[in-house]
Amino acid sequence: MKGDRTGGNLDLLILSVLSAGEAHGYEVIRRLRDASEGEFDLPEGTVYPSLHRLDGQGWLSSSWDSSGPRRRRVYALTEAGRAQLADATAAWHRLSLSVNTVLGARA
Amino acid sequence: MTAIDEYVSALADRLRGPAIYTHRVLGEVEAHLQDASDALVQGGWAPDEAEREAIARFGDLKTVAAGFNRDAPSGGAALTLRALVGAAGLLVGVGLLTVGVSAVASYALSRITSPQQVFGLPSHASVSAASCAHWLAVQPAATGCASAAALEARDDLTMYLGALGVVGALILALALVLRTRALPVAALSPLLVPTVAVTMFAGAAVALAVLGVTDARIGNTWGQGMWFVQSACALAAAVVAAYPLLRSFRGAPSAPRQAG
Repeated sequence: MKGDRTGGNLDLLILSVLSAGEAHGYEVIRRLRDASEGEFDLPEGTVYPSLHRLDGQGWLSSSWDSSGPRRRRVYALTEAGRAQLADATAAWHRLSLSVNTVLGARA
Repeated sequence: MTAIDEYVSALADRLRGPAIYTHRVLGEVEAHLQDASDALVQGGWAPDEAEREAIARFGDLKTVAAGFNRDAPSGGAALTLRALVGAAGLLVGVGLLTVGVSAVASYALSRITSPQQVFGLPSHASVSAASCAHWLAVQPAATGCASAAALEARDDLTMYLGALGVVGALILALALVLRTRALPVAALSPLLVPTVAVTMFAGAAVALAVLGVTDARIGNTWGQGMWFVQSACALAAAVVAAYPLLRSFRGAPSAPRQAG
Protein backbone atom coordinates (compact mmCIF):
# COMPACT_ATOMS: atom_id res chain seq x y z
CA MET A 1 0.00 0.00 0.00
CA LYS A 2 1.57 3.24 -1.15
CA GLY A 3 -0.77 5.93 0.16
CA ASP A 4 -2.81 8.18 -2.05
CA ARG A 5 -0.79 8.94 -5.18
CA THR A 6 -3.80 10.00 -7.19
CA GLY A 7 -2.93 13.66 -6.81
CA GLY A 8 -6.44 14.64 -5.83
CA ASN A 9 -7.92 12.90 -8.85
CA LEU A 10 -9.49 9.97 -7.06
CA ASP A 11 -13.04 10.98 -8.04
CA LEU A 12 -12.09 11.09 -11.73
CA LEU A 13 -10.37 7.71 -11.48
CA ILE A 14 -13.38 6.14 -9.77
CA LEU A 15 -15.72 7.44 -12.46
CA SER A 16 -13.32 6.09 -15.05
CA VAL A 17 -13.11 2.55 -13.68
CA LEU A 18 -16.88 2.46 -13.25
CA SER A 19 -17.35 3.36 -16.92
CA ALA A 20 -16.36 -0.26 -17.57
CA GLY A 21 -19.43 -1.43 -15.68
CA GLU A 22 -21.00 -1.43 -12.25
CA ALA A 23 -18.97 -2.71 -9.32
CA HIS A 24 -18.91 -2.83 -5.53
CA GLY A 25 -16.26 -0.96 -3.55
CA TYR A 26 -13.79 -3.84 -3.31
CA GLU A 27 -13.96 -4.34 -7.07
CA VAL A 28 -13.51 -0.60 -7.70
CA ILE A 29 -10.31 -0.66 -5.65
CA ARG A 30 -9.07 -3.76 -7.46
CA ARG A 31 -9.73 -2.15 -10.86
CA LEU A 32 -7.88 0.99 -9.79
CA ARG A 33 -4.88 -1.05 -8.64
CA ASP A 34 -4.83 -3.25 -11.76
CA ALA A 35 -5.37 -0.42 -14.26
CA SER A 36 -2.55 1.61 -12.70
CA GLU A 37 -0.31 -1.48 -12.52
CA GLY A 38 -0.12 -1.11 -8.75
CA GLU A 39 0.62 2.62 -8.68
CA PHE A 40 -2.77 3.48 -7.16
CA ASP A 41 -2.71 0.92 -4.37
CA LEU A 42 -4.74 3.09 -2.02
CA PRO A 43 -5.57 2.70 1.66
CA GLU A 44 -8.80 0.93 0.82
CA GLY A 45 -10.92 2.70 3.41
CA THR A 46 -10.30 6.04 1.71
CA VAL A 47 -12.19 5.04 -1.43
CA TYR A 48 -15.62 4.61 0.18
CA PRO A 49 -16.13 8.24 1.23
CA SER A 50 -15.40 9.22 -2.38
CA LEU A 51 -17.93 6.66 -3.63
CA HIS A 52 -20.52 8.06 -1.22
CA ARG A 53 -19.79 11.62 -2.26
CA LEU A 54 -20.09 10.79 -5.98
CA ASP A 55 -23.30 8.92 -5.21
CA GLY A 56 -24.65 11.96 -3.37
CA GLN A 57 -23.76 14.21 -6.30
CA GLY A 58 -25.78 12.01 -8.61
CA TRP A 59 -22.79 10.92 -10.67
CA LEU A 60 -23.15 7.37 -9.37
CA SER A 61 -26.18 5.36 -8.42
CA SER A 62 -25.98 2.59 -5.87
CA SER A 63 -28.07 -0.23 -4.51
CA TRP A 64 -27.62 -3.31 -2.35
CA ASP A 65 -26.96 -6.56 -4.19
CA SER A 66 -27.92 -9.65 -2.21
CA SER A 67 -27.43 -12.16 -4.98
CA GLY A 68 -23.95 -13.25 -3.85
CA PRO A 69 -22.78 -14.92 -0.65
CA ARG A 70 -22.79 -11.56 1.13
CA ARG A 71 -24.67 -8.32 0.63
CA ARG A 72 -22.71 -5.65 -1.23
CA ARG A 73 -23.37 -2.07 -2.24
CA VAL A 74 -22.99 -1.88 -6.00
CA TYR A 75 -22.18 1.40 -7.77
CA ALA A 76 -22.94 2.33 -11.36
CA LEU A 77 -22.16 5.38 -13.44
CA THR A 78 -25.20 7.56 -14.15
CA GLU A 79 -25.72 9.62 -17.29
CA ALA A 80 -24.72 12.70 -15.30
CA GLY A 81 -21.62 10.81 -14.13
CA ARG A 82 -20.77 9.87 -17.68
CA ALA A 83 -21.00 13.52 -18.72
CA GLN A 84 -18.89 14.54 -15.73
CA LEU A 85 -16.30 11.91 -16.64
CA ALA A 86 -16.10 13.26 -20.19
CA ASP A 87 -15.69 16.86 -18.95
CA ALA A 88 -13.12 15.94 -16.31
CA THR A 89 -11.16 13.77 -18.73
CA ALA A 90 -11.02 16.61 -21.27
CA ALA A 91 -9.91 19.03 -18.53
CA TRP A 92 -7.24 16.57 -17.42
CA HIS A 93 -5.88 16.23 -20.97
CA ARG A 94 -5.76 20.02 -21.34
CA LEU A 95 -3.92 20.38 -18.03
CA SER A 96 -1.59 17.51 -18.85
CA LEU A 97 -0.78 19.03 -22.24
CA SER A 98 -0.14 22.44 -20.71
CA VAL A 99 2.10 21.04 -17.99
CA ASN A 100 4.04 18.98 -20.50
CA THR A 101 4.41 22.00 -22.75
CA VAL A 102 5.83 24.09 -19.90
CA LEU A 103 8.14 21.30 -18.76
CA GLY A 104 9.23 20.72 -22.36
CA ALA A 105 10.03 24.42 -22.80
CA ARG A 106 12.41 24.29 -19.84
CA ALA A 107 14.21 21.19 -21.09
CA MET B 1 -15.27 -12.31 17.94
CA THR B 2 -13.07 -12.15 14.86
CA ALA B 3 -10.67 -9.32 14.08
CA ILE B 4 -13.09 -8.08 11.41
CA ASP B 5 -15.98 -8.13 13.90
CA GLU B 6 -13.89 -6.13 16.36
CA TYR B 7 -12.86 -3.62 13.70
CA VAL B 8 -16.43 -3.11 12.47
CA SER B 9 -17.73 -2.76 16.03
CA ALA B 10 -15.02 -0.24 16.88
CA LEU B 11 -15.82 1.67 13.69
CA ALA B 12 -19.51 1.68 14.65
CA ASP B 13 -18.58 3.41 17.90
CA ARG B 14 -16.71 6.15 16.03
CA LEU B 15 -19.13 6.81 13.17
CA ARG B 16 -21.37 9.84 13.22
CA GLY B 17 -24.42 10.64 11.14
CA PRO B 18 -27.92 9.27 10.75
CA ALA B 19 -28.50 5.55 11.20
CA ILE B 20 -29.29 5.11 7.51
CA TYR B 21 -25.75 6.30 6.72
CA THR B 22 -23.88 4.35 9.42
CA HIS B 23 -25.88 1.23 8.54
CA ARG B 24 -24.71 1.52 4.95
CA VAL B 25 -21.08 2.25 5.87
CA LEU B 26 -20.80 -0.68 8.27
CA GLY B 27 -22.41 -3.04 5.77
CA GLU B 28 -19.97 -2.01 3.07
CA VAL B 29 -16.92 -2.13 5.32
CA GLU B 30 -17.77 -5.59 6.64
CA ALA B 31 -18.39 -7.00 3.16
CA HIS B 32 -15.17 -5.40 1.90
CA LEU B 33 -13.04 -6.80 4.72
CA GLN B 34 -14.51 -10.26 4.29
CA ASP B 35 -13.94 -10.13 0.52
CA ALA B 36 -10.35 -9.00 1.06
CA SER B 37 -9.75 -11.64 3.72
CA ASP B 38 -11.22 -14.39 1.53
CA ALA B 39 -8.95 -13.34 -1.35
CA LEU B 40 -5.92 -13.53 0.91
CA VAL B 41 -6.92 -16.94 2.25
CA GLN B 42 -7.24 -18.16 -1.34
CA GLY B 43 -3.72 -16.81 -1.87
CA GLY B 44 -2.39 -19.02 0.91
CA TRP B 45 -2.72 -16.83 4.01
CA ALA B 46 -3.90 -18.26 7.31
CA PRO B 47 -7.44 -17.02 8.10
CA ASP B 48 -6.45 -15.00 11.19
CA GLU B 49 -3.50 -13.41 9.40
CA ALA B 50 -5.68 -12.72 6.36
CA GLU B 51 -8.21 -10.81 8.47
CA ARG B 52 -5.50 -8.70 10.10
CA GLU B 53 -3.89 -7.97 6.72
CA ALA B 54 -7.27 -7.02 5.20
CA ILE B 55 -7.81 -4.59 8.08
CA ALA B 56 -4.31 -3.14 7.71
CA ARG B 57 -4.93 -2.54 4.00
CA PHE B 58 -8.25 -0.89 4.73
CA GLY B 59 -6.64 1.68 6.96
CA ASP B 60 -6.30 2.55 10.62
CA LEU B 61 -9.52 3.04 12.47
CA LYS B 62 -9.05 6.70 13.31
CA THR B 63 -8.27 7.74 9.72
CA VAL B 64 -11.05 5.63 8.21
CA ALA B 65 -13.66 6.89 10.70
CA ALA B 66 -12.57 10.49 10.10
CA GLY B 67 -12.98 9.99 6.33
CA PHE B 68 -16.48 8.67 6.71
CA ASN B 69 -17.45 11.29 9.28
CA ARG B 70 -16.17 14.12 7.09
CA ASP B 71 -18.66 13.16 4.38
CA ALA B 72 -21.46 12.00 6.67
CA PRO B 73 -24.77 13.54 5.64
CA SER B 74 -26.28 15.86 8.16
CA GLY B 75 -29.71 14.89 9.24
CA GLY B 76 -29.98 14.72 12.97
CA ALA B 77 -33.24 15.57 14.65
CA ALA B 78 -35.06 16.68 11.50
CA LEU B 79 -34.28 13.44 9.70
CA THR B 80 -35.25 11.35 12.72
CA LEU B 81 -38.50 13.30 13.07
CA ARG B 82 -39.38 12.72 9.42
CA ALA B 83 -38.49 9.05 9.77
CA LEU B 84 -40.74 8.77 12.83
CA VAL B 85 -43.60 10.44 10.95
CA GLY B 86 -43.08 7.94 8.15
CA ALA B 87 -43.01 5.02 10.59
CA ALA B 88 -46.15 6.30 12.32
CA GLY B 89 -47.83 6.60 8.93
CA LEU B 90 -46.93 3.02 8.10
CA LEU B 91 -48.20 1.72 11.44
CA VAL B 92 -51.43 3.74 11.38
CA GLY B 93 -52.00 2.77 7.75
CA VAL B 94 -51.48 -0.94 8.41
CA GLY B 95 -53.60 -0.72 11.57
CA LEU B 96 -56.55 0.92 9.82
CA LEU B 97 -56.21 -1.39 6.84
CA THR B 98 -56.39 -4.34 9.24
CA VAL B 99 -59.55 -2.85 10.74
CA GLY B 100 -61.04 -2.62 7.25
CA VAL B 101 -60.04 -6.18 6.39
CA SER B 102 -61.60 -7.41 9.64
CA ALA B 103 -64.82 -5.56 8.76
CA VAL B 104 -65.01 -7.30 5.39
CA ALA B 105 -64.15 -10.64 7.01
CA SER B 106 -66.83 -10.13 9.68
CA TYR B 107 -69.41 -9.28 7.03
CA ALA B 108 -68.45 -12.35 5.01
CA LEU B 109 -68.67 -14.54 8.10
CA SER B 110 -72.11 -13.13 8.90
CA ARG B 111 -73.27 -14.11 5.42
CA ILE B 112 -71.96 -17.64 5.91
CA THR B 113 -73.33 -18.06 9.43
CA SER B 114 -75.87 -15.46 10.53
CA PRO B 115 -75.79 -11.75 11.40
CA GLN B 116 -76.69 -12.56 15.00
CA GLN B 117 -73.75 -14.92 15.48
CA VAL B 118 -71.33 -12.26 14.34
CA PHE B 119 -73.04 -8.96 15.16
CA GLY B 120 -75.64 -10.08 17.68
CA LEU B 121 -76.32 -8.03 20.81
CA PRO B 122 -74.81 -9.53 23.96
CA SER B 123 -77.41 -11.65 25.74
CA HIS B 124 -76.95 -9.62 28.93
CA ALA B 125 -77.37 -6.26 27.18
CA SER B 126 -80.33 -4.14 28.20
CA VAL B 127 -82.08 -2.50 25.27
CA SER B 128 -84.54 0.36 25.43
CA ALA B 129 -87.86 0.21 23.61
CA ALA B 130 -86.89 3.29 21.63
CA SER B 131 -83.73 1.56 20.33
CA CYS B 132 -85.71 -1.49 19.34
CA ALA B 133 -88.24 0.66 17.52
CA HIS B 134 -85.46 2.46 15.68
CA TRP B 135 -83.71 -0.77 14.59
CA LEU B 136 -86.96 -2.33 13.45
CA ALA B 137 -87.78 0.82 11.49
CA VAL B 138 -84.45 0.86 9.64
CA GLN B 139 -84.28 -2.93 9.23
CA PRO B 140 -87.76 -3.88 7.94
CA ALA B 141 -86.57 -7.39 7.03
CA ALA B 142 -85.75 -8.16 10.67
CA THR B 143 -87.83 -10.72 12.49
CA GLY B 144 -87.50 -9.06 15.88
CA CYS B 145 -85.54 -6.61 18.01
CA ALA B 146 -82.46 -8.83 18.35
CA SER B 147 -82.40 -9.56 14.64
CA ALA B 148 -82.80 -5.87 13.78
CA ALA B 149 -80.01 -4.91 16.20
CA ALA B 150 -77.66 -7.42 14.56
CA LEU B 151 -78.51 -6.30 11.03
CA GLU B 152 -78.11 -2.65 11.97
CA ALA B 153 -74.77 -3.34 13.68
CA ARG B 154 -73.60 -5.29 10.65
CA ASP B 155 -74.51 -2.51 8.22
CA ASP B 156 -73.11 0.31 10.34
CA LEU B 157 -69.90 -1.41 11.45
CA THR B 158 -69.14 -2.74 7.97
CA MET B 159 -69.55 0.75 6.53
CA TYR B 160 -67.63 2.65 9.23
CA LEU B 161 -64.84 0.12 9.76
CA GLY B 162 -64.60 -0.47 6.01
CA ALA B 163 -64.20 3.28 5.50
CA LEU B 164 -61.39 3.24 8.07
CA GLY B 165 -59.76 0.50 6.03
CA VAL B 166 -59.91 2.64 2.89
CA VAL B 167 -58.37 5.56 4.81
CA GLY B 168 -55.67 3.18 6.08
CA ALA B 169 -54.91 2.01 2.55
CA LEU B 170 -54.55 5.62 1.39
CA ILE B 171 -52.27 6.52 4.32
CA LEU B 172 -50.21 3.39 3.71
CA ALA B 173 -49.87 4.15 0.00
CA LEU B 174 -48.78 7.71 0.78
CA ALA B 175 -46.30 6.56 3.43
CA LEU B 176 -44.83 3.97 1.06
CA VAL B 177 -44.47 6.47 -1.77
CA LEU B 178 -42.76 9.03 0.47
CA ARG B 179 -40.74 6.70 2.69
CA THR B 180 -37.44 6.80 0.80
CA ARG B 181 -37.06 10.57 0.45
CA ALA B 182 -39.51 12.68 2.39
CA LEU B 183 -40.18 10.15 5.16
CA PRO B 184 -37.01 8.01 5.34
CA VAL B 185 -38.19 5.22 7.63
CA ALA B 186 -34.93 3.38 6.95
CA ALA B 187 -33.12 6.03 9.00
CA LEU B 188 -34.55 4.37 12.09
CA SER B 189 -33.32 1.13 13.58
CA PRO B 190 -34.61 -1.61 11.24
CA LEU B 191 -36.20 -3.44 14.16
CA LEU B 192 -38.05 -0.45 15.62
CA VAL B 193 -41.11 -0.48 13.38
CA PRO B 194 -41.57 -4.29 13.49
CA THR B 195 -41.17 -4.28 17.29
CA VAL B 196 -43.79 -1.55 17.74
CA ALA B 197 -46.07 -3.26 15.22
CA VAL B 198 -45.85 -6.67 16.92
CA THR B 199 -46.52 -5.11 20.31
CA MET B 200 -49.43 -3.08 18.96
CA PHE B 201 -51.10 -5.88 17.01
CA ALA B 202 -50.47 -8.63 19.56
CA GLY B 203 -51.87 -6.36 22.29
CA ALA B 204 -54.90 -5.59 20.15
CA ALA B 205 -55.42 -9.30 19.43
CA VAL B 206 -55.45 -10.12 23.15
CA ALA B 207 -57.74 -7.19 24.01
CA LEU B 208 -60.19 -8.07 21.22
CA ALA B 209 -60.18 -11.72 22.26
CA VAL B 210 -61.09 -10.62 25.80
CA LEU B 211 -63.95 -8.54 24.36
CA GLY B 212 -65.07 -11.61 22.44
CA VAL B 213 -64.92 -13.94 25.45
CA THR B 214 -66.89 -11.47 27.58
CA ASP B 215 -69.26 -10.74 24.65
CA ALA B 216 -68.70 -7.07 25.34
CA ARG B 217 -70.68 -4.09 24.19
CA ILE B 218 -68.89 -0.73 23.82
CA GLY B 219 -71.49 1.93 23.04
CA ASN B 220 -73.00 1.02 19.68
CA THR B 221 -70.33 -1.58 18.95
CA TRP B 222 -70.96 -5.23 19.73
CA GLY B 223 -70.84 -8.66 18.22
CA GLN B 224 -69.04 -11.63 19.73
CA GLY B 225 -68.15 -13.09 16.34
CA MET B 226 -66.90 -9.71 15.16
CA TRP B 227 -64.58 -9.34 18.18
CA PHE B 228 -63.07 -12.76 17.46
CA VAL B 229 -62.64 -11.98 13.74
CA GLN B 230 -60.94 -8.69 14.61
CA SER B 231 -58.73 -10.50 17.11
CA ALA B 232 -57.73 -13.03 14.45
CA CYS B 233 -56.93 -10.24 11.96
CA ALA B 234 -54.81 -8.42 14.55
CA LEU B 235 -53.00 -11.66 15.34
CA ALA B 236 -52.30 -12.23 11.64
CA ALA B 237 -50.88 -8.70 11.37
CA ALA B 238 -48.69 -9.35 14.43
CA VAL B 239 -47.35 -12.55 12.85
CA VAL B 240 -46.51 -10.73 9.61
CA ALA B 241 -44.79 -7.93 11.55
CA ALA B 242 -42.82 -10.51 13.56
CA TYR B 243 -41.17 -11.94 10.44
CA PRO B 244 -38.31 -9.38 10.25
CA LEU B 245 -37.70 -9.81 13.97
CA LEU B 246 -37.45 -13.58 13.64
CA ARG B 247 -35.05 -13.19 10.72
CA SER B 248 -32.93 -10.87 12.81
CA PHE B 249 -32.86 -13.23 15.81
CA ARG B 250 -31.81 -16.08 13.55
CA GLY B 251 -28.91 -13.89 12.44
CA ALA B 252 -29.04 -13.29 8.72
CA PRO B 253 -25.45 -14.05 7.66
CA SER B 254 -24.75 -10.80 5.85
CA ALA B 255 -27.00 -8.37 7.68
CA PRO B 256 -25.05 -5.19 8.36
CA ARG B 257 -24.92 -4.12 11.99
CA GLN B 258 -26.24 -0.88 13.32
CA ALA B 259 -24.07 1.82 14.70
CA GLY B 260 -23.78 1.53 18.45
